[in-house]
Amino acid sequence: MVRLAGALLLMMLPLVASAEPNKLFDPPRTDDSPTAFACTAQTLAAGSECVFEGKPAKSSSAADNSARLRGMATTTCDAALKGALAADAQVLREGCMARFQAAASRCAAEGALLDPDGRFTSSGQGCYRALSEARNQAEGLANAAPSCCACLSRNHCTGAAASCVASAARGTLAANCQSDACDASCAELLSLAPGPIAKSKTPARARSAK
Amino acid sequence: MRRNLLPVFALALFGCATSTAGAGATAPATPLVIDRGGPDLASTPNFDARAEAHRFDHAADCEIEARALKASNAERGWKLLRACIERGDFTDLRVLLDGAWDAELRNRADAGEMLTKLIAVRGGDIEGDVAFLHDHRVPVFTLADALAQPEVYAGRLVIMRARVSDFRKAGSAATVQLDEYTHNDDLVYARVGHGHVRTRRVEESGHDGQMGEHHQVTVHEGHHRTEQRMTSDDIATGRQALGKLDKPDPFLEPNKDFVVLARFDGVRQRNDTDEDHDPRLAVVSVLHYFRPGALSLY
Repeated sequence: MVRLAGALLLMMLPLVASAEPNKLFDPPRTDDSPTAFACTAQTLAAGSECVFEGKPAKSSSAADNSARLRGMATTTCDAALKGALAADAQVLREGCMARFQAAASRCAAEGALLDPDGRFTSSGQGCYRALSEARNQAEGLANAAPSCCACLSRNHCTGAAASCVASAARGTLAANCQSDACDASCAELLSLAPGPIAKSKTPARARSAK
Repeated sequence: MRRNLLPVFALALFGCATSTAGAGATAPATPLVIDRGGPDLASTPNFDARAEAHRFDHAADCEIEARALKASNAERGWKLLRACIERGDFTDLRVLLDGAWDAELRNRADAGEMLTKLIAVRGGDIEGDVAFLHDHRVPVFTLADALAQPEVYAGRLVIMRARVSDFRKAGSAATVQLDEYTHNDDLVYARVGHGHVRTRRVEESGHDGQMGEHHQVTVHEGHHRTEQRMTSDDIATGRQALGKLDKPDPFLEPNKDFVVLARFDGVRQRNDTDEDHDPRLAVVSVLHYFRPGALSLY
C-alpha cells in the first residue's frame, strides 16, 4: 500500500528536464553549449551519426590540421576493423591506415577544422566526410574481402592468390573468373574498388551458354 | 464535498429564479460560487491544492473555483488551477486562454509547464493547440516553424509531440534525439462480424433488336454490419531535434510518445548526407515533457 502510494506520488511529480525557469513571455535566449552528438574522433571511429557544432577557435595551418587528422587513423581503423579475422587484420589495418591518411592529407586545409575540445566545426565538414568514407571503405573491405577471396579460391579464379585479401585491401585485386559464381560475394568489393574481377568468357563457356 | 459551484449561466438556462446573484435573462460574466460552509481557501492555514482539486466531480468546476480564489489570494488561485490541470481531466484550453489567467500565464515561471501538461492531457494535437495559443498571442511555436526560419525562432519556446530514438552522454552533456510525430484520430466505419455474401444468377433480356437477346448475369450481394470506430495514426513528420537535458532522465523513455516543451537553440548540420533527410537537425533544450492523453480534443 505504502509502495503504491509512493508510486502515485512519483507519477504526480512534474516531469522537469531542466531546472532553469523559463517564463512563456521571456525574451528569446539560446544555449549554444554543444550536444552529446557533436562530430568528434569518437563518432568518426564508431561511424555514428553526429552534427557539426565545434566552435571555431584558433586557425591552424594545413600541415597541423593534416597531422591532427592523421593522428585519428589508429583509433578509427581499430574500430572499423574490429570484426576482421585475425589472419587478415594486419593487412586490412595497413590498408585502412593508408586510405585514412591519404584522405586526411588531401582534405586538410588551413583553418579551424576542430575546436579545442576536438569537435569538428562547420569548416571541418568536408574533411570529416572524407575520413568517414575512408573508414567505411575499410570496414566494407574487412567484411567483404575474406568471403570474396574464399569464393575466388574455391572457383579457381586466376589472380586470386594467397595475397587476395592484401590486394583487396590495397584496392588492386584483379581476378579472372570463368563463371559468375563470385559476383554476389564480391559485389561489395566491386563497389569499393571498381573492376577487381573480370569474367573471362572462354569458348567452352560461350558454347555452354548457347 | 463541502464546496459546490453553480455557474449562473446554467440557472439562467433552466429559467430558475432563485439565483442569489439575481440573474435575469442574460448570464453574467462571472459564475456564481455557492459556499457551503467550508474553510475560506484564501486564508485557511491548511490549504492543500491537490486535495481541494479532487473534491470536485468536474474539473471545469475546479477551474471556476480557482478563478474565484485568485481574486482574494492570487498564489493559491494559481496553485489550485495547477492542481485542477494535474487531475488529468481538465481539458478546456479555451477557458484558460479567455483572459482571466493572462497575467499568470505571462508572469508565472511554471506557466509553460502547465500549458504543456494541458496540451498533453488534451491528446497532444500540437498543430491545433498551438493555433489556439497563437490566437491569444502566447509565444509557443512548432518545430516546423522553427526549422523553417531558424533565425526568427532562435531562443523561442517550441512544443512538439516526439519519441526518443537515441540517447548519448558526452562529458557533462546528456542529449536525446527526438523524432517528431503527428497524431491523427479518424472516425471510420469498420466491418464487424462475419457478414455473408449471396450469389445469384439473373436472366436478362435485351430490349432492342427483333431476335431478342438473353444473357445471364451473376450478382454478388454482400451484407455485413458496420460500427463507427475511432482509429489513431501516429505519423513521423521526418523532423528531428537533439534535446539537451540537464542530466540523463530515465522517465523520458525511448519510443514512447511525449509532448515536449523546449527552447529552440538553433540548427546544426548533420554528417549524414542522405538526400532523404533534412541536412539540418534542430537543437533544443528540453524544459518539460508529459505523456499525451489517449484521446484528442479539437
